[in-house]
Formats: sequence, structure tokens, C-alpha cells
Amino acid sequence: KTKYLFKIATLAPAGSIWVEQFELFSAKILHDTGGEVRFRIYAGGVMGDDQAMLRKMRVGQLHGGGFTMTGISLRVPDFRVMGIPLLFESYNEVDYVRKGLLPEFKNQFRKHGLEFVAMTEVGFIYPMSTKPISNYLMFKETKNWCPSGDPISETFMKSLGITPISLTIPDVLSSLQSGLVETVYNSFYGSIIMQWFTKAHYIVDFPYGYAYGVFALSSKKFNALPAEHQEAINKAAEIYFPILLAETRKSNEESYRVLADRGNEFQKLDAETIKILKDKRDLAMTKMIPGAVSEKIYKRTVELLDEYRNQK
Amino acid sequence: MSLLKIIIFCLALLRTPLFLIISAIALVSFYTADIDISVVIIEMSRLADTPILVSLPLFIFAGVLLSESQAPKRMLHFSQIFLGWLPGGLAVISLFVCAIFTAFTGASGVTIFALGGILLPALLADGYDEKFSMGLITSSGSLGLLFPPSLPLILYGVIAGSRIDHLFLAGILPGLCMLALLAGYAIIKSGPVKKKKRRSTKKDFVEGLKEIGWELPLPFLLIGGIYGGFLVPSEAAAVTALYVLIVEVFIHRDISLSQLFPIMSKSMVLFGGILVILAASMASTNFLIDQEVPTRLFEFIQKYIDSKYSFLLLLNIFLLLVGAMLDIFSALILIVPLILPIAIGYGIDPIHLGIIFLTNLQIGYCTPPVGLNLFLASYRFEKPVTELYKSTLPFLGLLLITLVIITYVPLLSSFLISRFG
Amino acid sequence: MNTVTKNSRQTAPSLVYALPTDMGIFRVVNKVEEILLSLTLMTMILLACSQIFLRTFLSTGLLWADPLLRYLVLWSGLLGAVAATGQGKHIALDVLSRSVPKAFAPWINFSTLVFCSLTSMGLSWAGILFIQGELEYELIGPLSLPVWFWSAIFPVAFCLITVKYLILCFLQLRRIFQMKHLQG
Ligand code: NA
Ligand code: NA
Repeated sequence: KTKYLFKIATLAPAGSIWVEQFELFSAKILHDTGGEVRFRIYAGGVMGDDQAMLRKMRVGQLHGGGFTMTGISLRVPDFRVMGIPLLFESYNEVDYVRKGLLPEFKNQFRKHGLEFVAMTEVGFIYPMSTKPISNYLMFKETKNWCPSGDPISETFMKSLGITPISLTIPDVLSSLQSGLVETVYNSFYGSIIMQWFTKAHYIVDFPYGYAYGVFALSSKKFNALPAEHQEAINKAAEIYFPILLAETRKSNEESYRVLADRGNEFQKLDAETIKILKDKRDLAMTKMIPGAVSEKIYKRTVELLDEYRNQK
Repeated sequence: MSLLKIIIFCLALLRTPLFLIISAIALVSFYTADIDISVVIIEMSRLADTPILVSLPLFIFAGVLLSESQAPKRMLHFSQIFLGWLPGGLAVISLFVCAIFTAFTGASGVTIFALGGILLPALLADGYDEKFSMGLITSSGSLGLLFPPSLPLILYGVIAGSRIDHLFLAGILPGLCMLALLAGYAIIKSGPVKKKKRRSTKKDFVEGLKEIGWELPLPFLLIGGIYGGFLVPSEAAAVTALYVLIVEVFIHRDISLSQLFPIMSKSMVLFGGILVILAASMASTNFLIDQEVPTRLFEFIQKYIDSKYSFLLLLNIFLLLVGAMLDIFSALILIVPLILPIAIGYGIDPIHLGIIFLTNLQIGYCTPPVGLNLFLASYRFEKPVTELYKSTLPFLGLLLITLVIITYVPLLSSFLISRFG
Repeated sequence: MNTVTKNSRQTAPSLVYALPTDMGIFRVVNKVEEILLSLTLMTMILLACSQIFLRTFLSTGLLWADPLLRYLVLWSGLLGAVAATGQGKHIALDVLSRSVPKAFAPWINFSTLVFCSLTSMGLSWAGILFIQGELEYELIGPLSLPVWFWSAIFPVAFCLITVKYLILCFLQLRRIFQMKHLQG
């Protein structure tokens, strides 16, 4: 009965909230389309990382994927704009800016043959270290990790005078263990499911940045669907992806408590350090435009953020 | 198309390079499934995202260099000075030296060739009978596969995506268990000491230490580097390679500069052979995943086998057969991607599975009728293979006992990880 | 049977497995390959060790060193495979070839060589398709060189392997006719 099979891959492990919600989402579509549209998910990175997934979408082996911001930004650079360090202070700000940027994101994705379905999130990420870090100097003295292929964190750290050690996410835990890196960045939930918290004992209780992703389909495959099936996908996305966001945030909150109960130490950054970090961030931004993100999207983001902060 | 696949399978049995057999199957499968064949290369290019792969060529080079140098002789001489006075001393020494040597050179039969010629006459002169001596050398030709930095261990990590530092730790106790059983047997077989041996003098000790002084720190450098938090495994490989290069070429001068280029090139040819099989198998495995074969296979097997333990028993029988027919690299590359998801489904830890896998393949090296070690030994000692079957049998029995212990006592593999991981 | 990684086994002279080392052109090829492989290996060792040195003593590092190292591993491995093709050193299963009647053996070897040529042609073609796709994106790899440059080793190596197998096919065919000539 299946007329349209979408093969979808993601790095998120089977059984994680991301995959669980996705399965509910695809079951809904299967039901609403009378079994004509089926999603088959390859979880846990069995199809390779984001770049391999994009390549496989290009040749038609895959028809979509749950991508990380870092990975998809190799194709759609402007999408990384919300990953600028120390940009957001609350999820309300995130939601407001995301809503404002959505039309632009959708446009840009279409230009690259991708149908933007919904955004996903890892959440706010926090510096976590094997050593106590409470001020700017301590920050610099530890060996910092940055995800491979993320020009924003790379440039930001360089402006702080840090030469980060760039590793892919699967290599982080063993490198924490061996002492190759000391300070890493992750959400509370992420640090628990990836076991990073067992080594990175000290957590700076100040959101360093925001990590997110996207669920996108191949435009070619999506456009081949009859209009009512496209509608069914969008309708299901409107139901299930907000639930996923809420679930992710709930997991992060719960994880915060788990970490505190486990005895991980939460540390405050002093105001002076935060100011230095923000100044250095602004300095770094001048170097990142237009290499990492376009001036247009950066201005729009700042505009939206000011808009939200002023209306409060 | 299935006719085409049958032809390819027949060619596989006729000395056609394995990487082309696997590639051909992958190309044909993707083509018939209407998927662009460039997926084959997309999958192969994923190897560039595998950091641990870096350690393979470096350890291969270090191993080839060590086996071409006089290091095996020095190792043996040193051990004789220090342990020669023990009952069964020489046999025990042989086991340990073979194990360490195999760990560094990989199980490509080098151990039998490099050490066999020195060990056999020494064992015979020490009063061991020929049958025992040949059995010992043949079966210890792949001993040490479980110790870091053995190549098959790293290769398993690459294929299974497991952590190399954990695999290194996991192999140590099972490997020691195997060594202890074999050493115990050797001590029993040694009987009363036939010749009154001269005990080593203090001067001997100093001389011996001087001789081996440069190679002795190698295992400590490696283990200390990784678990002391100074090096990741791929860096440890680079340090090992550079260290061995300096010691064998510039300090001991066992290898002249003019010999160095051919040795380097030889190591890279060896590595190239492994890399292309690995690359091809990435592609064929991707086809299986695309078609959800591992999931379906698991569901099928689960219908008939419900307990983890009966699965492990069947797995061992299957792997012993595979081990007797395929060499360790091909077996790992072909079988691990299929078995791993099923084993995980049965709740088996991938690290433990790796140790079971390698133990099986190691035993396969000396299983009649086609174990590689048997042929190598028969070639090296100029004895008929059938004679070697008989002499290896008691050792084979002991290895099987260790296999049972390793399989059904997962703690042996996980204990060190829980302590130091 | 076990694999043939070494040329330790005696092969009948009527079967061609490796390029002849006594011919000038192949000697040059061997030498070039030897130098290239040794240089890549030396570069890998020195690059990895200097990373450790920089980190330990100057607490800094080269961001591009690790990706470069990973591509060098790919390059050295694929070039090693090209060399292995000429030297007949690929890992292969060898179960049936000994039970093949002597008279057929050269023809069977010829057909396996034809199969090898065809498959490596297929791989080369897949590699070319892959690079064509990569050219669409301006991804930059280590040393500011585009990613497609670093991945181009796939079609290059597979094309070289194809050429070597075609030469081996030709040599095997020539051997067969030489034998016929001698018998006839
Ligand atoms: Na074998
Ligand atoms: Na072999």
C-alpha cells in the first residue's frame, strides 16, 4: 500500500526522545495518508554523519534527515546564526527569534533542494569541565573542545586566545577520559545520555550557547507528493515537533536535578567574566561575517532579539 | 542478477582479491536496487571521519620494523636470563615472548616465522620433545591477539565503533587467563629439570638489561601514554612508530637506511590491502542496512533462540568455523557488521563481543584442517601438516577452555574497564 | 583455504599474478610507489608527533592537522592498494584454485583478471560520479584545499588499479598464447 517511502537518517540514538517522537509523527502520517506515505528511520548514525547523510540525499538513497546545526550549516550556512555564543538568555527569546527567522530559513533551505519541516533542539549548552572554572582566566587555562566543522565556536575561542581541540562528538568522551580535552559543551540531558557528566564534574551554570537541529526532507521527493499528503506531513509536524521541544526542555530540567543530585558542582560566572565573554563574542562576530553567516541574517537576528527584549 | 552474484561468489573461491568481490557485490546490489552507485564511494569516504584508523598504518609499520630487526632475538635472550631458571622456564618464556611479539606485529604469521626458528631449537635443546615444542610454537603464533596494541583489536574497534582504550583494557585479563592456562600446561609437561642450568649472574642481568634497554620501555610507553592521559590511541601509535624507527634504525642500526624505504613501502602495501577491504565492506554493509537486513535477521533468529547463552554458544560454533576458513582481517570485516546488531539485541556488550570474536578467530588459526598457523608452521619447520594437527591438539583443547571462560564470564573482559576506564 | 598475503606459495609460471619486476617500466613504477608511500608514512608520523609536541610543550595545536592526517591515511592506504595490485599482494580467499585442472588454470586466472578489471572500472566510475557531485559544493578541507580534491584519490586510485589489471589481463593472455605456441 505504501506509495511514497521516505528513508530518513539521524545521528540521534534509537530510543532517545528525538527518535521516539519522530516515530509518533510518522505513525500519524501513515494513518492520515491511508498508509500511502511511510517513513523509515535509520537512527544512531548508521547512515553516517550529517555530511554523509546530505551526500546520500543528493544521490537519492536517503530522502530526509534529522540534522544537527553544525552538519546542515555546511550546506545552509545562515542556519547557524542561532548558535552564536551567549546570544539567548531564555527559551522565550529562542522561540521568538526562531519564529521570526523561520520564513528566511525555509527559503534558504529550498534554494538547496531541502524542504524545512521543523526545528529540533538539544537545548542550552553549558561549559562542563574536569576543572573548576569560574572566571575568564580559568576558562583559558583548560583544554577546550570545539565540534569539528563549527566555524563559530572556533572563531569565538580563538578571539578568547584559546586554541580549541576539535573533535567529533563520538570522540569527546574518551578524550575527556584521557585528559585530551578538559572543558566541553553540552546540554544537561546530552551530558547524561552521552556520559560526559561522569568526567566533566564542574558545570558552569550560565548558558554558553544554544544547540539545535532541523528535520528536513528532499524537496524533489516532497514536491512529488500530492498536495493533501504534503498537508498531512505539515499538519503532523505542527502537532509533534512542539511536543518534542517541550519534551526536550523537560528532559533538560530533569537532568539538571539529576546532575545536582549526583553531586556535580554548579558554578556561577562572575559578571566581569560574562562581560569579557560578550565583548570578545562581538569582536569575533566581525570576523565571522560573511564567512560563517551573512550580514543580513545576523542583523535580522539581532533585530528580533531587541524587539523581544524591548517589548518586555 | 542473482546469477551474476553466484558467479561473483565462485570467483571469490578462485583467488580473486576479496575487496573486488565485496565491491562487485555492493555495486551490483545498489545498481539493481536503483540506488546511484556513487553511494559506494560515499560510504568509503566515511573512512576519513574515523580518527582511530590513523593508528592502523602506524602500528603496522612499527610491527613490520620490529619483526625485520633483531628485536625478537634480544627479547628472547633477555627473558632467558631472567626466567630461564624456572621449571618449564623456556616454554613459559616462549609463550610470553610470542604474546608480546604478536601484540605488536599483528597476527599475520610473522611470529612463527620470526621467532619459530629461534625457539624450536632452544626448546629441543632444553629437553622438550618435538611434538610438544612444535605444538607450543604453532599455537602461540597468534597468542597476544588480545593484548594492546594488537591490530585485530583496533580493527574491531574501527568496525564496531567501540572505544579502543576500552578494548585494550578488556583484552588484558582474558589474554592473561589464556597465557596462564598454557603456561601451567607447559610447566606440567616440563617434568624434572633435565640439565642443571647455570643460574644467571648479576653481570648477566646487567648485560641483558643493557641489550634490551631500548625496547623494554615500549609497552609501558604505550600503556602509560594512553591511560596516563597523555595520548589518544592514534597518537600512541605515532609515538610507537617514531620510537621504533629511531631505536632500530639509528641506535641498534639493525636496519640500514637503504632498507628503510622498502620496509615502509611494504607496511603501506599491507595496510592498503586491509584498507580497501574495509572500504568495500563499508559499502556492502551499507546496502544491508539500507535493506534493513540486520533487523530482519535479528527478528528471525529471535524466533528460534530466546536466551543470550544459547545465542553465545551458537555464535562460538559459527565463529570457530569462520575462523578456520578465513583469515582474521577478512573475518572481522565481513562478519562483525552482521553479528554486532544481533548480539546487541541479545544484550551482549560490544566490547565483550569483540573479545569473544578475537578469541575465536585466534583459535581458528590453529584449527585443522585449514588453520593458517598450521600451514605456516609446516612450511617453516618442513613437517607435514598432519603431524602438526596432532601436536597442536592439546593446546587447542586449552584454548577452547579459555574460550568458554571468556564467553560465559563477561566480568573478565569488563573488570579492568570498570576500574580504570 | 587461507589467504594469500605473501607470495610464499609457489605459483605455476603459466599464471600471472603480479607485474614482472624485471621490466624497466614496472621497475620505475615500483620505485615511484615506494618513494610516495614512504613519504606519506613519514609525513603521517611526523605530523602526529608534532601535534603531541605542540600540545604538551606549547599548549597549542594545529586545527587542520587531524583532518589532514585522516586524509593522508586514506591516500596512503589507497596508494598502498595500487601498489598491492601490481605486486599481487591483495588479500584473497583461495579455496578452489588448487583443484582446478592445470589446463584450465591460465584461462580461469584470465577470467578472474577480467572480473577484477571490470569491477575496478565500476569503482572508478562510481568515484567519478562521486567527485562530480562533490564539485557542486564548495566545502573546504585541510590546507585550504577543497574537499573534492582530497576525495579525488578514490577515482584516481581505482583508475590506476584498473590499468594494472588490464595490463595483467594482457600479460596472462600473451602467456596463454606463448604456451600454445610452444606446445604447437
Ligand atoms: Na584461519
Ligand atoms: Na592473512
